[in-house]
Amino acid sequence: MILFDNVSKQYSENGAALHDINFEIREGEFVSIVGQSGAGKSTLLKMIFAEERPTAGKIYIKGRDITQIRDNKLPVLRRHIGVVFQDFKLLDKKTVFENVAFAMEVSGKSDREIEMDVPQVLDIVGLGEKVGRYPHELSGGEKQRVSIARALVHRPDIIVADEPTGNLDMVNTWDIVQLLSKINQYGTTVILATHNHEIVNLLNKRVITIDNGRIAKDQLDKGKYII
Amino acid sequence: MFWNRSFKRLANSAFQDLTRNVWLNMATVVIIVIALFTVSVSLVIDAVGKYTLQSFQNKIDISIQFRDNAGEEKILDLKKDLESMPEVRSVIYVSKDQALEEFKAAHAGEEYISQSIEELGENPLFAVLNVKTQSLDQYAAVDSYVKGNENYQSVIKKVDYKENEAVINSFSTALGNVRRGINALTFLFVAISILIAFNTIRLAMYSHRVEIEIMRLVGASNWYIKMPFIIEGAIFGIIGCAATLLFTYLLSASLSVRIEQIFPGFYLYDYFLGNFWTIGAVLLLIGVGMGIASSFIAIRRYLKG
Repeated sequence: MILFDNVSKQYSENGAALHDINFEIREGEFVSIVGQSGAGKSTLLKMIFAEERPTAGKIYIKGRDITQIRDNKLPVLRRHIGVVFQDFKLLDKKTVFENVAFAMEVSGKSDREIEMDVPQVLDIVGLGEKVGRYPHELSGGEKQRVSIARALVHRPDIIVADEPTGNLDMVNTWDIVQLLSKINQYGTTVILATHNHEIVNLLNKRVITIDNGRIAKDQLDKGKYII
Repeated sequence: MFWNRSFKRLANSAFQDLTRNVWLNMATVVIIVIALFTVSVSLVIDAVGKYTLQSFQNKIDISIQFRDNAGEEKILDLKKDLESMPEVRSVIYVSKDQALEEFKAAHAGEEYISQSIEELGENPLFAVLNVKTQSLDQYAAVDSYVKGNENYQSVIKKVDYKENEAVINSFSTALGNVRRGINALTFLFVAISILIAFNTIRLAMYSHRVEIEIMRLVGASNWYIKMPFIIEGAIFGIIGCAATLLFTYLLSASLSVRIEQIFPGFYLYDYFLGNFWTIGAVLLLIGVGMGIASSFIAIRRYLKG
């Protein structure tokens, strides 16, 4: 599904974010990317949805080299990848329904498709009763659920979550992680960047450890948070 | 169907946004109005210039004086030749006798002039052809034709173009310079206004940066992101044009009398109404162009990769 082949990212002569990254993620896997702040986790994730391009190496998604992708093809790629951020990135002046519908509108879906799909996705994330609420009326955990719903609504092959629980308390953190697990069980590949060792240890899934821009360890199964 | 649906959504988004950032949007419209008003002033100055030039031109002519021995038939032959030239607008023949009658009528109250003419006993004036051309720069061609035509050399006493030439050329040059200067100033004003409008729109876009970022990340194409802002820019241009036309209408109505006192015969109000659709089309084109260009340039920095 995702292949990083000798990928490096250099921002300046003295500032390399990633060095010689090599790994493969199979379809349906749940992978945690762990490391200290500044290790390169976010840069690695941004390369998956082509927000950053590598300085060297290649990245393949479903067999397609995305490092050569033209700018006008990026929107199509991004509709197959759902992205969840630590700061939610919701639109304050749109309701829960509208925030999720937004993602479908940009790809030209009809109003009928939007009316059908958005409530279904909101049910999956447990916000079926709050479609008319605005972001400021939601808790942190609920806002992140809206963000996950928006990421899910295109039925993506991959969900990339960059520190999705960074602004949440422990209870909400675990709720979000369980939601991501549930999505993974339906067959979606999930890549979670986090520095929360408790979550990683409890998940018991594959763990890739990044240290100073390099892969320090790749625990293919029942991985633990080791720095 | 896809494009219709998307365009409807984008237009809705543009109209919704007009009601947010009201003051910022108004600032953009004001900048466009200032630029368009400069254009309309430039158009008026151009019209006044053309009118003044035409009035001046009507007063200027070439006078061809004939010797006493010139037969009327020869003079009328030359008149016919000149009238057949495309540069010539009109040729008026004033015979010796007519010239004397016109002179006496012009100086009717001046006894000593009348007495002097009587004492002379003969008509001291000459038969004349007064030639007017289509434009100032064509007098030289007529002058060359008359002086170069051997048929008439024996009967022509004098062609007084040379005395007028310097005045004609000076006025023509001065007017050309004024019009070029006004056009340059207008161009500069419009360019400055585009820059200011661009900055104002960029400020408004800053308030949309989160929205634009999300649109990029959920897979919106660059055109989908740009279109609402481009539509807004066009709307600013339309509103700016309407406001400018209204302002210019009110100004022309209030200043028309004053302008006519300075440029007799030029009625600003009538000019504006008579050319309303042309002026409106020019302002609309420039206004919408400015709005769209400013939006297009402003959104680009938010659309990296």
